[in-house]
Amino acid sequence: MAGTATTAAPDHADTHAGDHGHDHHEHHLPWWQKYLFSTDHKTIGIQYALASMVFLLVGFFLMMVMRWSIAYPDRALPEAMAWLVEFFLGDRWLEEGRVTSSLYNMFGAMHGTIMVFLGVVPLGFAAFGNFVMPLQIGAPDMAFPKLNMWSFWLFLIGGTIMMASFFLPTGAAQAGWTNYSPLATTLQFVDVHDVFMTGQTWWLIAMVFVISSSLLGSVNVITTIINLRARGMTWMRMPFFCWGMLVIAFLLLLAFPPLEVAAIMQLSDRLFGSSFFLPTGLVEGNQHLNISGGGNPLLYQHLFWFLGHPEVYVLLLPAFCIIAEIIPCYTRRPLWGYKSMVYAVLVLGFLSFIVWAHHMYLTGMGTRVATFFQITTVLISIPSVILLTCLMISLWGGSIRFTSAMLFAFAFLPMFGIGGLTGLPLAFSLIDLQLHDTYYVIGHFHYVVAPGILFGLFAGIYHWYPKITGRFMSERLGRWHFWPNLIFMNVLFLPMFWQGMAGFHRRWYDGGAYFSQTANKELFSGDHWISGIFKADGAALTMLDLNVLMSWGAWLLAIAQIPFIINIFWSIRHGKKCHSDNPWDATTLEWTTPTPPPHGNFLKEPVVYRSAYDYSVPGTTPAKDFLGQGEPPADATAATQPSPDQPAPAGH
Amino acid sequence: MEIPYTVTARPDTGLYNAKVGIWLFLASEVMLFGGLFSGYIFLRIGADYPWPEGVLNNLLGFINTLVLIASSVTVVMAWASLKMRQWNRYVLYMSITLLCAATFMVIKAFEYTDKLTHYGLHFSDGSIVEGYIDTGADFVVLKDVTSVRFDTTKGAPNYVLRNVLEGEPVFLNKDGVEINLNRSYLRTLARGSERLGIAPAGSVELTLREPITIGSRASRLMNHSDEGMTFRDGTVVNGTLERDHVTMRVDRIDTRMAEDPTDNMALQYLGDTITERFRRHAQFHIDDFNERYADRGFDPMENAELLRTAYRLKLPAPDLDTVKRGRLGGSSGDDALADGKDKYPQIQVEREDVRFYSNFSPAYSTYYAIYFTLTGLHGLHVICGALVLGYFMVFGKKMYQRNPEHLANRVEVGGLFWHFVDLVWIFLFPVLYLM
Repeated sequence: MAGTATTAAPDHADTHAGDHGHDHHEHHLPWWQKYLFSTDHKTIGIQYALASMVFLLVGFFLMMVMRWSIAYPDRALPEAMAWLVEFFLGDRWLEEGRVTSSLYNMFGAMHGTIMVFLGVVPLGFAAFGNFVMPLQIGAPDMAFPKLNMWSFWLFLIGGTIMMASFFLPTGAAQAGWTNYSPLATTLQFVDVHDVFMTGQTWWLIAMVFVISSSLLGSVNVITTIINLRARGMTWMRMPFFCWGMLVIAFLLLLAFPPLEVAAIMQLSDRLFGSSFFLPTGLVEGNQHLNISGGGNPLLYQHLFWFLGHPEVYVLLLPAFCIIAEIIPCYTRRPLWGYKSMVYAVLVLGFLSFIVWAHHMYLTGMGTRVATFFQITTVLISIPSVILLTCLMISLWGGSIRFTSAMLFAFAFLPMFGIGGLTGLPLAFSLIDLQLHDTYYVIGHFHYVVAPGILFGLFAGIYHWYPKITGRFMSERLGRWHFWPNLIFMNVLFLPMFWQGMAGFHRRWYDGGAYFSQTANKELFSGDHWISGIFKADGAALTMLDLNVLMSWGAWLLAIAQIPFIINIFWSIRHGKKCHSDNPWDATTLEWTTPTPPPHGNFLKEPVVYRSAYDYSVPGTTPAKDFLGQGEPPADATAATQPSPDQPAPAGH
Repeated sequence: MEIPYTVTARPDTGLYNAKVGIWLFLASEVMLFGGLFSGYIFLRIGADYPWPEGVLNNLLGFINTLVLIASSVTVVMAWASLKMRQWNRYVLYMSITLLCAATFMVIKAFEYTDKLTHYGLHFSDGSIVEGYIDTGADFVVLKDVTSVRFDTTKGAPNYVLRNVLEGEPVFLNKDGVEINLNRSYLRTLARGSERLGIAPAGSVELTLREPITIGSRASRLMNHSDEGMTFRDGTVVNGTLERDHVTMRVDRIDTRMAEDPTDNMALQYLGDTITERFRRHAQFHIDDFNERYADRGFDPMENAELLRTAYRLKLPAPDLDTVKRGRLGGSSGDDALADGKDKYPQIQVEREDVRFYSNFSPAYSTYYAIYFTLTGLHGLHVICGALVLGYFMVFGKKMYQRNPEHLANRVEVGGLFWHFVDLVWIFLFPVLYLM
């Protein structure tokens, strides 16, 4: 490697020249070391991305079956869905083709678990963090490459155990994704041969693996950011993406262990008969359980939500990180309020540790405690709003290029806005007592996760795909992906708010049979023209009829993913070729590497001269609307040079 | 491109990568044990039974504390030896460290064995006896078992197969043909079979070629009667009930939780002599308390410390001279004492009088649950730390010759982890043993 690279920044012309044979031992690695047990952060990032997208699809399928049960509780599943369920799980889960309550519970629990722990977090944090972050800070790899590989494989083992639990005699976990004790402890507990071979137990074991994986991953990310930043990459020159990853990694590092404690304790309750979460005198199936009792179910909820709330920001921040990179790039404007965003994300990270009990207002933990958590919860909306506002203001006066990535980023802002703002009422215990466990809550967090976070992740895939493959994704398919997504996400999630406020409970598997007898509000009378569209027989349109509308939204949303899946695979070979390493004219360091980046990433030691968002700087010579972080200033004066005490990486 | 700062420190942070990594890892470990200690506080504050105090051996705990602290010193000496490039001294100090780790675990093993062989039995009126139950002395025994009915969707009738005391379990189907109860046959049963007349996903009854005897812990049973028992997975077994009591050698009485601490099932089972002795013991402490705080107006029944001393008695009580029969006759506690065969009085408790019994494992109470979880996880950390340090000692020579500083860094990182493990114990000892 170049020993004195202080003046020579990589430019586009010569990066391809050194593309071949720069790193000889890479070509001698056997295929399984190169693609399977790779220690290269980019390969691991792609592994994470592929694995998590498969998990997302599985989670999505579970939801489609559930939506059928909600919309048409008295009808048999359609052929295709029934065939899939019977093929994988056997026929005992369907009753004359209809979804049984235990199947619904199982799919409900696993939908949440898969989406949160195996889908969105690995895609947002692990995949993007692994691929993009080391490139952006100018590092050759993660600080601990082997640990990085272990992190992925632990995740995959955990995910596999979670999936395998579907095939156990008891089926997978059925106690909701939160797995609250005592239900989660006593379910599949009394009436089984072997408590170990149950879905509830395997859920816990899988979680221990996933938690260990995220622990290794977060140690790696933080160490890399602290110790492997390139020369001149000061903290305030670091792209916001890396700041976000740093905060996420700290959240994972510190918030996940209490969940591990909860998992260990629940495992002990199930396997060793202890009573950590089981109160005295617990009755199951009209019989006193043969346990000592004396435990406390609230303890589980505290431990769970101590992770659970930071986890919300672990889900959310990757999307913010990606969009903070995309908006400046496609508006050709610097990120507005970079510093305030950095401080906001740090405050957000801190506050997210002290808001957890707002998930527990209904547990009767006391008004004084509830008051504390109401205050902190309202406080945390401030940094969130700062982040969103900065992103919105960044659009102002930009010359926006509406690529697929930008469309998704653009739609993220209002969609996440809806998700965030509908969360505010839930912060107040008085209102939460009414809305708790209704579809209002479901609507709220799905607006955050689906059209919010997933849109951010989609945007990221469209944005960095050219760097990974050397080809663009199809813009036409991208639009076919975007518009149906935007429409059907809203069809699916918007009615949830009305249903929730009317008291529709989140765990009714029969589409609210009880609700229909008590509180089924008429939305439009039978002679209204809107009723005429949906109801042929002149019946009134009721709150429950929204179920059908939402379910159709869900199934059409599944179809809307097809262009995306085609796009990903088709574009590897047939996408439009990039003729530059920096096809989007972006400023950050990952665009100065060859495409795709080789093992070791950079051909020359990267040096950073300026902030991450120098778009449309007046007076740039030669005339262009961006200045890469690694481009040396035309008049290299002492003021713009990296200071001498900025260390060079060892080995240079 | 090599990864920088694996050995030398980055100038502006002053740290090499592994040191940043280990401190982050330790931060996460703090949260792990922090979660467990919070759980301890939560459980202790919320306990609806007298939290056990002083049930562990303080001396052993104290020795273990010294052992771990010593090992923390020697691991630093090992690191310093490497820094001074003295390989032999490094091996010596590291060996002492590992020896300490082994000592710690051996002592821990003795403590665990002591707990796991010791039982507590709660009578249905709340009184408690502690002592020893021999293997099988607590079984519900069913003889002349001739048929088994089980749910085919749940696989084999494992509870039956695992609990055979006498006889060979050979199953016959309803046509009297011998069955090999293997996986494929079970699958056939679960799928249902027209030939065998079994509905899919239903229950099936199999008869046994010759009667067998089954003995099981009551905790595996849903219920049982004179004619048979039902395991908790729904498997039904027919037979004749032969034995249904728990035989226990008692070494402590604890009646704090009983409605009447001086007249309850525990005392009735143990006989008049022990009862009398127990009452004298309790009265002595209550009188002593009243005398001492005569002018303060304290209610002795509200003082947890007094209740703990007054209503708990260690057996055998020293001045037992006369022997009378217990409530049940036969083999009551006093008889055993009279024979002089046993150190502790032995009682036979009818199942209906038992509310709950267990060895002092996590199942016994939330105290033992958190004790085993905390010390178990800590022990796991000791083992893992010792393995890593041992690896640096046994396989470190090559790295030492190539780049001694690299090995010193590794040992430093391992040592930091070792200090953390030590520190956790420093918290565990007072919390579990002394408080």
